[in-house]
Amino acid sequence: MNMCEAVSDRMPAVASGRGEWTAAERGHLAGCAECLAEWKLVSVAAMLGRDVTVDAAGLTPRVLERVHEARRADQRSRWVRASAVAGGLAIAALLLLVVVPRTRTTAPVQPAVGVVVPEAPDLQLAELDGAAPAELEMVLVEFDEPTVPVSSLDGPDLEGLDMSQVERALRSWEES
Amino acid sequence: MVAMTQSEPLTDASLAAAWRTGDEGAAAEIVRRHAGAVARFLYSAGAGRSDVDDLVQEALFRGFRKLDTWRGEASLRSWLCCIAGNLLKDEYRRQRGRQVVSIEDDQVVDASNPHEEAAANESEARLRAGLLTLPRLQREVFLMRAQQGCEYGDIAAALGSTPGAARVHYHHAVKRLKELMS
Repeated sequence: MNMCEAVSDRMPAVASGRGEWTAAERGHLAGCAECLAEWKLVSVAAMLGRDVTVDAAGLTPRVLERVHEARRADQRSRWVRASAVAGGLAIAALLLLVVVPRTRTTAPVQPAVGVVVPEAPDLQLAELDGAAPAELEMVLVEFDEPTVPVSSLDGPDLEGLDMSQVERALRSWEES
Repeated sequence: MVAMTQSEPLTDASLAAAWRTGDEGAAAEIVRRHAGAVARFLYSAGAGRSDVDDLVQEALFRGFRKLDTWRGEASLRSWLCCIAGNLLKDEYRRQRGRQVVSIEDDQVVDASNPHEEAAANESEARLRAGLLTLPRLQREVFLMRAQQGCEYGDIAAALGSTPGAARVHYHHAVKRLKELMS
């Protein structure tokens, strides 16, 4: 480090009053125009704004109040975020409970091949509260009797048919 | 409350640690130590005299909000000056490039002052005007070094740079200011 750099590095300390020039440094400044010009700059900079003051005692409560308010706002926003997440999870859970089972039950049920699903009997029941036991008995007997064939196996007897006849019979059933 | 004695003042790191645990006395001491320096830095970097109070409050507010991130690599003062510099930049952008500061009446040399004081005032006004023409980094490094007395390593830590780069910024600023002041 040459003398110019050494003097330059010492300038802020001397300008702020935290140090003093040595005789050698003072002698260098007297003979080096570049260092002298820098020293003038630094000494002016050290004094710049010296008359700008702030009321630290009054400033502290204002700053701290803002810090506390910001912390409260942070807590509120954390609570809102947590609530939003919890609400989202609750909605998701509700959808899983309600929508998913419904979509499962609404899927079309394919009847087994060869099985005819009987139509439900159109039960148009009269008011039975006032019916006599015999009339009720008759109604129940009527329910017990099958109204439609319960199986496609109640078709014509296929025994004794060869394969081509069976094929034709099956095709005719399908077309019907 | 932080216990402070005349012989052994607490370090900024101790005060920051005390503040993190909720000690408001430590916060008051931090403000007392650094608010004036931050005010001078802001004024010298271009803040209007009438804006300095609000800007210092905002800089300290931001500083306390982020104090958990201060690890002590840079001094607390240079770290706060760095926050103040960013604040001034934000303010400048917010005003869409309008000059944040104008040379105010109280900076105009008063003819009734003694000659030396008038000359000093004139030098300060010229330096301040010159600082405003520098790139932001050069201006801030110069002020941290020449006005605040920070070491290059300290400035570099605050700005996220290297001591060598800080030194280069400082010397560029000095060269430019010499030209403007001569």
